[in-house]
Amino acid sequence: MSHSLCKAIDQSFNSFSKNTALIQHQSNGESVALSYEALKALAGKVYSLFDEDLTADQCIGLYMQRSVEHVASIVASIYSKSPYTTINNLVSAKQVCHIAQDSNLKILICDNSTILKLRALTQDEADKKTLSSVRIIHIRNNEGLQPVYKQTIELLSDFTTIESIFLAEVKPYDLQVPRAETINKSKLILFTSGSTGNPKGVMIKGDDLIDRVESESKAYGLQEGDVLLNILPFSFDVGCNQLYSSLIKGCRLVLLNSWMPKDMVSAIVTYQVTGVSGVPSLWLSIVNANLEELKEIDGILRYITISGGDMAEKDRLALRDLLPNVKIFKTYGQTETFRSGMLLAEHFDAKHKSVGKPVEGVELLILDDNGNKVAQGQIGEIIHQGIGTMLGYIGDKEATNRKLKNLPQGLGENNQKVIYTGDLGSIDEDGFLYLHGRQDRMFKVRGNRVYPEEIERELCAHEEVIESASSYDAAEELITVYVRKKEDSALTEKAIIKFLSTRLPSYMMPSHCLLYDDFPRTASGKIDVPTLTSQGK
Amino acid sequence: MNAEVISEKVREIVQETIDSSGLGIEVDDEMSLIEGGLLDSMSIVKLVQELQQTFDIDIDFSDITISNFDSISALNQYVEARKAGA
Repeated sequence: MSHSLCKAIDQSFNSFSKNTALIQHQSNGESVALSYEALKALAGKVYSLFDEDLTADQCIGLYMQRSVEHVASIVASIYSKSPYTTINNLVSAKQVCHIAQDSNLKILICDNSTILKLRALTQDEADKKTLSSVRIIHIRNNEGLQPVYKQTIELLSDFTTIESIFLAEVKPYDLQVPRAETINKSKLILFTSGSTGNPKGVMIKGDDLIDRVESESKAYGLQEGDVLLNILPFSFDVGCNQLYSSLIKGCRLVLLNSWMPKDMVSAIVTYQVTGVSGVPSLWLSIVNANLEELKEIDGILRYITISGGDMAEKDRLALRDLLPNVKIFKTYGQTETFRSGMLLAEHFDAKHKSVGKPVEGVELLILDDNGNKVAQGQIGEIIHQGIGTMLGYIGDKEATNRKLKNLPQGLGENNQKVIYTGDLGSIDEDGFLYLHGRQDRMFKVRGNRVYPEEIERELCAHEEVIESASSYDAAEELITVYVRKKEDSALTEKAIIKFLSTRLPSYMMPSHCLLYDDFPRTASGKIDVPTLTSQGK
Repeated sequence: MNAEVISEKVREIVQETIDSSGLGIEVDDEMSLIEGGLLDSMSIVKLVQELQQTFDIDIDFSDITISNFDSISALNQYVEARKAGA
């Protein structure tokens, strides 16, 4: 094995030991800073809590808010032989149980924010049984144990092993890089939010994580001295990769536990942030917040990213106008592929509708239903090969075989595994990729192909629409659209239908339109369409 | 409306918002609501609407911050200041 994630991070601890690695912004306005040296020491303490007989096939789960203790637990897991998974602290305890079962979880590290949620599991015998084989470590942030946590721990200790730890009281432990051959091939397991059914665990190879860091750092020009703002969860591939890149390149990472526009903008000013990896909903809130400090951050930030989805054209251009001196990158990928395409900042103005070109080390193919390459400009399924390709879904061979396949004969090396993304795309004459929605969302109305994403895009072209979603009832052949309008807007259902009728062919017209001030969300912040659909009935 | 009434109502509103997410947790004044993962962005929207209606105040975007919203005691202070016309 040529390199490992652990080795690279260990090297950083040596090279940048006195630099600041992390700054945690707290709600009282104060902050906690940790040097690379101090982070390694804290991670050593967490590592010393792991069982000595922890084997490479047992998983470590981190169910914590964004904090220096969370990052230290990630680093400690990277120094172990086991794979680890970060569980979004917004997901329910039920889902944690599901994840524990799927991933052969041996240790679950919780903090004050999540330990209370585990109380929900005391009602169900099956949940209790799942949790009984897991050792729970509660990392608390103060010496004493407040009554509510004490009571919760007592409740849980009836059926599982649980201990509460104050890291300041743990003896120092010197971290050692494990021998490469002893480490599990799959180092990280990311559970996809899964809009339907239970989340699936995507297994990722340690070496691939290093390749991702190199590719990202090169594109964003990351170097020592950069200050990156972390708002995205570590359970999301983009947030997780930002952390690795920051640590490996010797940057400073600011941890902010707030998605409120004013807090983000203040943090950028206070800590002189140079780069932010963000998602559309986050930038949308900035565009709509109308804050005075935006002019100031334009002079501080070097780059931002729009990842995990795209913005409506009017909002994308509004963001561009708000931050004229900031480089805007767009990225496109899935948990199963990490990053397939990237639109570089220098191409943003000319090609902002596209998601850019394949990133270095990635090759994309566009195939038709029969597995043949489509002609330039034609729509087909996007196939991803190279850096970012997952190892498979944990404990689900069937799902793995549907997603991770060999290319049809004649299109590449025979044993090369590629990801069938299920996304529809086309490539223009300059090699830029355009997305046309999900293959499994496409449906036919009276023989015509309908891409629901096109309906949603047209809705968002309306000045008073912030976000939109849609659903299709195949039995009734009915399209329903869900519209999040601006707060002070008097937009009506009729006005929206009228607006759409000038922009869409009749077979794409919705029969129902529902208006919202805000949408229900999944733990990762995406629109929760199943909930919308069930409410609409 | 005096400080005691305000603080009682704020606690009630926050508790109701958290109950609607089915967590079954009784919040105290100092518990971290946002950092602690008890409130997500959807509940914040509801909470802001509730506070505006109950106390007849306008809450500006620039006031929706973690320092004003992270605990019941922080919210109390904020609402009191707004009611006092600050």
